[in-house]
Amino acid sequence: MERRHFLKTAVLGAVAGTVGLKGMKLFASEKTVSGTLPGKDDIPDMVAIMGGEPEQLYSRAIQEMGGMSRYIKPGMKVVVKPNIGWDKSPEYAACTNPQLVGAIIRDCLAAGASQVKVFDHTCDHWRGCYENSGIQEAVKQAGGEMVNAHEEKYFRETELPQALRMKTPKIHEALLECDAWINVPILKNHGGARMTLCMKNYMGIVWDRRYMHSNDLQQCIADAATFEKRPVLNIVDGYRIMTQNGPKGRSLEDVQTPKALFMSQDIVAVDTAATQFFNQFSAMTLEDASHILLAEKHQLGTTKLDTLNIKRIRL
Amino acid sequence: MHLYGFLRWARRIIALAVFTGLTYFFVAFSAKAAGIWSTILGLQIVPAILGIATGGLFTVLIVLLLTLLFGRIYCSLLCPLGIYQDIVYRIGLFIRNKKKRRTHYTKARNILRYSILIIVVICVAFSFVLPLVWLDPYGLFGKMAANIGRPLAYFVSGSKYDAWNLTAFLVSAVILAALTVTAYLKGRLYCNTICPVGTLLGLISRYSMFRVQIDPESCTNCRLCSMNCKSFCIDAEKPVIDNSRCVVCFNCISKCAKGSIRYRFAWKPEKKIKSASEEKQPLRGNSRRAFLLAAMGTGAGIVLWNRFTENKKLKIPKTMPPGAGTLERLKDTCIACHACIAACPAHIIKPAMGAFGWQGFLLPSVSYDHGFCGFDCRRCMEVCPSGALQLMPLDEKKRVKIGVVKFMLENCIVEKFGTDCGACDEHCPVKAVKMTPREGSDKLFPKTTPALCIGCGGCEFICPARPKAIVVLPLSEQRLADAPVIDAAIDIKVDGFGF
Repeated sequence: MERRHFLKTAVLGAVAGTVGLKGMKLFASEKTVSGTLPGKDDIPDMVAIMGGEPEQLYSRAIQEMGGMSRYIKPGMKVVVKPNIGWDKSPEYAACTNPQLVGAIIRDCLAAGASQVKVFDHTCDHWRGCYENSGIQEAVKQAGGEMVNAHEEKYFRETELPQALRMKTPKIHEALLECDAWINVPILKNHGGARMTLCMKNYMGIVWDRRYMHSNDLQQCIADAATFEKRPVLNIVDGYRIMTQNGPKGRSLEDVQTPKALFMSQDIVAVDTAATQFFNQFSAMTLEDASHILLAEKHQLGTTKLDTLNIKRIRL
Repeated sequence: MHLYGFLRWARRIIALAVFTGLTYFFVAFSAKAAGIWSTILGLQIVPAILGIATGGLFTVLIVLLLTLLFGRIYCSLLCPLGIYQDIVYRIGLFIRNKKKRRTHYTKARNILRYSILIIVVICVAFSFVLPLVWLDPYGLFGKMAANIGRPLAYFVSGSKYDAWNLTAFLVSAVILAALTVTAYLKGRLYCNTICPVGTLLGLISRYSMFRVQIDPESCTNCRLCSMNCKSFCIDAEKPVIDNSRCVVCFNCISKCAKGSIRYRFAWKPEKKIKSASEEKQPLRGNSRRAFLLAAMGTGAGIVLWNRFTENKKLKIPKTMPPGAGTLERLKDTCIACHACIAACPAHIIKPAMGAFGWQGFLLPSVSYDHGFCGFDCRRCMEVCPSGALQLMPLDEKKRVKIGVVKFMLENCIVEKFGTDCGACDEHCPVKAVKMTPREGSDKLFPKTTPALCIGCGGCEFICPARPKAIVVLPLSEQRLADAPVIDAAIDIKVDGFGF
């Protein structure tokens, strides 16, 4: 049944794209992976929130977005995909905040998720990343399950019909088998992709990152984001952010602590917002992080933030 | 009798614990509890002797003292290769019928074993460790466990083993087969004929405080003890036990129907009991001196030959693991036990083939094909029992330069295709390669600062270009890289969202 819903959604999305409708609006009122969403007008397209601890930021934002039960239905198999790319402790802002990851998992389980899996295809050695990022511990505490992603056997070839460069990547099995997933990157600058946000976080669901780097990185990132099972929520962790020497960082001087969080179903919009937020610290344009513009061309969302209903909150 | 039964079981239990522990370490080690393993590895005497200046002294003294007090219990309790042979021999007892499994006394092969010992001692004294790479029981055990056991464990668990090396596997398999056959047929033949540790400890154990001895008064020369001795060292006719070969297993004691064999305090001058060491030696006078001289000459010859044939060129084709210092030093202290290979979580340490010359065959070398050296990791140093990979504070290890970066623009993705990449910058922990703007392009290009580079190989590993645009050149002399320059934090107060 899930697959049928899912295909239907994909078809609807494609139709919406071709007739030039804004995808998001349609998704919000139609049956999607996450079930029937009441198309309430008071649910914003995006929540931007600042000035609190990770859990506070998250709980207020998800409340504004209508609560987790809007996105996760009882019995669903859920994947939460943070950025766990580096063997660094949380204060270095190289990986997603473990408190945030824990809070999301608890919320998913409270909404009735039958299981919550967490993984990342890491850059540094996976064990060090899982442990020192604090995420493994947070996941365990919250009742989720950390799954392996360090070997090719965990990935399966998947077609991306919309893709221009990366048409058949290998994608992690947990993601292929789940009913819904939540994309939780951390906000960092990046020497290659310039910004690493929600779409760049897709590199951790793909096995062959060298292919992406050598076949027009920006296009490949946008291609990855066309993976038909879209995240039900994109949550950008801006509690600690990396403003230079990203994505790995070298010292605490590379880190700022603006205590922010951005949440939306529109992946392009949330990446755009986070980039503009970052631009206040260090010059960055969408033309630099061009995968965001390429994703807009893929009809994955909009960069025109003024057309959206954005709720800005200061705690 | 109860006491000996207890001692025998205690020996079996301790030996089995040490053996399974060490095997587990080599076969299934997963970077956890490195401290515990390094303690067990630290009890091995040959690495301790080689690392005597760097913390091995304590182990050497303990082992020598234990031998002086109790005989060669080291060979029975702590030597993994010895225990392995005991296990094989024991299994042999179940397989073979009673008649076939009887052993008998054989004379000690003194010429052979003392020649080997003398040659090894001379070589080691002159910093030529190669003979120990092939003779040290612990080193042999490590090679077999790491090159046969570990790949097998990965295969069974369905995982890929990146440090797989066919040559090392075959070499280890040949050694394993030879040892298994000798142990099955001849018990502790290796330990009492070839093993330099066995011979060395045997020199002490013949005068140890406690020895297994036969009381000639009550002995009926029934040969039950001799038939059950895996060291073939009990001459039941005399009757005497060659304590230089006895590994104190207590098997004979429990076999003796008359209770004539005892493990007893042997430093009582009044109750002198004949032992083989005081018996006629096979060589006397001139011939003995001649053989000693010949062995010493051989040792010296090998040392000199090595000195002249050793490749002194400074360029090496493979990187050494961190802490090795210089290639010279690595060759002087490493017995290729492959503990570092087993411990490396990234599987980048592999047995060298020809990279370090023929003397360096099977020594640990680094390859970045499947991974790179973890910035916060020093497992290899932690487990190295001989100090060949010198343990150092993590902050120092983070600056140890094991190789140096070389960038080739013409191969780089950004140059070739004009698209963003930055994989090298992404992986560099010290920012010795950093994406930098270039005039006439809106793209960022890798820019290297070799003085900062520590040679971890992250850039080489991840570089997606074929051929690679960035590689690490090995250094035959490791040194400290420049301390990373810390960029000042961006000093901006942000109050709004910016959109």
